[in-house]
Amino acid sequence: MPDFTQHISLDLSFEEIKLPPFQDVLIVGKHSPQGKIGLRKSFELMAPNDFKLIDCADDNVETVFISYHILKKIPEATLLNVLRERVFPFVSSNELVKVDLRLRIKINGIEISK
Amino acid sequence: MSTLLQHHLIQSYSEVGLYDGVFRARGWLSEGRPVVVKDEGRFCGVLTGQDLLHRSHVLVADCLVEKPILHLSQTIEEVLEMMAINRWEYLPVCKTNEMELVGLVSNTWLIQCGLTQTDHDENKVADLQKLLALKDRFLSILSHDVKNLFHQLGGTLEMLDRKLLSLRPEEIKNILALSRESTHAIHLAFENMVNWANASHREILFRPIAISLQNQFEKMARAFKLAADGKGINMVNRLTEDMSVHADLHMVTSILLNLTFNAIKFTGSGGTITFQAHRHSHAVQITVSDTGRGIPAQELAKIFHQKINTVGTNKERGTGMGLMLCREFVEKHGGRIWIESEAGKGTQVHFTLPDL
Repeated sequence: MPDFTQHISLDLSFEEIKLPPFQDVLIVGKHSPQGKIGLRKSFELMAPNDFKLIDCADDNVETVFISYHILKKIPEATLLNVLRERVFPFVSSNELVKVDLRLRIKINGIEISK
Repeated sequence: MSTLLQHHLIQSYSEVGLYDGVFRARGWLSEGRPVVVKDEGRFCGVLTGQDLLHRSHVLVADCLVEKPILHLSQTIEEVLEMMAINRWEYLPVCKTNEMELVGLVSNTWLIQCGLTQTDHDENKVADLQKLLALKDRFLSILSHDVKNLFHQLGGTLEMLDRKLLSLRPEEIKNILALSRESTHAIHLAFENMVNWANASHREILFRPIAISLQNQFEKMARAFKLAADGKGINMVNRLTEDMSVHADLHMVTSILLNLTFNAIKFTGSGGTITFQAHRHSHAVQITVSDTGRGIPAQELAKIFHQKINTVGTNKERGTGMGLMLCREFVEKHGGRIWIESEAGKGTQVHFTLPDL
């Protein structure tokens, strides 16, 4: 019997995560493994009332989940048009795609009368 | 044939939870066992094989397609009518005004019961037989078109397997990218055909719309790129952007799919396949020509009327019914299809469709 020794070493790191794993927009492909009903149910459990489900008439995209925080700042139709033009062309029907938005609102020329 | 449903209920089925994975249900369905979906004991619906074909998700909830609920007082006739429209395999029967499941009815079982009834209502029996024949027709069209596309993919994977060690990484990457494109084309063709079959009630649906021939050519070129590249065949597009027809999309796709498959099948290495179209009064004449081995004169006369299965230059096999389907679909548009061919020099298939 040959002599041998065995060492097990372990490296670890940890960080905080947030669920669900997207904050702003999730695009659901028509044939993605997770469908809209299962996703909606899981979001209801993880983040109740945080996301709006919007069905889309598109060849590859079935549904978009958008955070109500975003919809408070930008009209739904405007955001959907941007997604349709800029993001949908890159989405395959079997994918889930998260979209991070950086929304800035700038207001100029407010006159305050005393 | 006015028997009520209560005599034909199926009580033997498997149960699955609404938020369960589809894996177990898939197994039961493949054994021909109907699957009832429940959530905390509450009846939610009936899962069928068609649901899983249409929706490729992991949860039952995402695959379940909503279906009508039947009641015990309904007759076989009206239920069969309803099932035929949407091609439902199974439907649930519940107590009136309640979602309490009392059993399932099966399309196939009801048709069999109808055909063996002793009241001999010949018209109704003929009607049911027509429905069964239509179902068979769709299955044959579906299997034919999808088989052609699978053949392309199979050939490429075989080539990859044979030459893997001699190929450069970028060549392998390119072949895999094209294979992915091919599987997408197969999926699309399959889904289109199933949707088409589902939308057709009693006869094959015919819904003409404006179709750009240029777009159709691009789809064909993508679907068959692997096969054409594999044989060193050049696919030439001479269709102009303004060339459009007023035709049924599924039928046109099926015609072009079949003609392109045939052209590739009978054209040897280094050959050319050309797509072109010309306007003639109210019709557009489309021509798919190849520089292949041509068709013997004795076969030309019967080619649109009987099943002919000839092996291609690379031993490709078809179902032998492609041109019969093409003729049926072209004639449905009031068009004409004909072939000019000379052995050893090539073939031109011409067909006409209504101008936009």
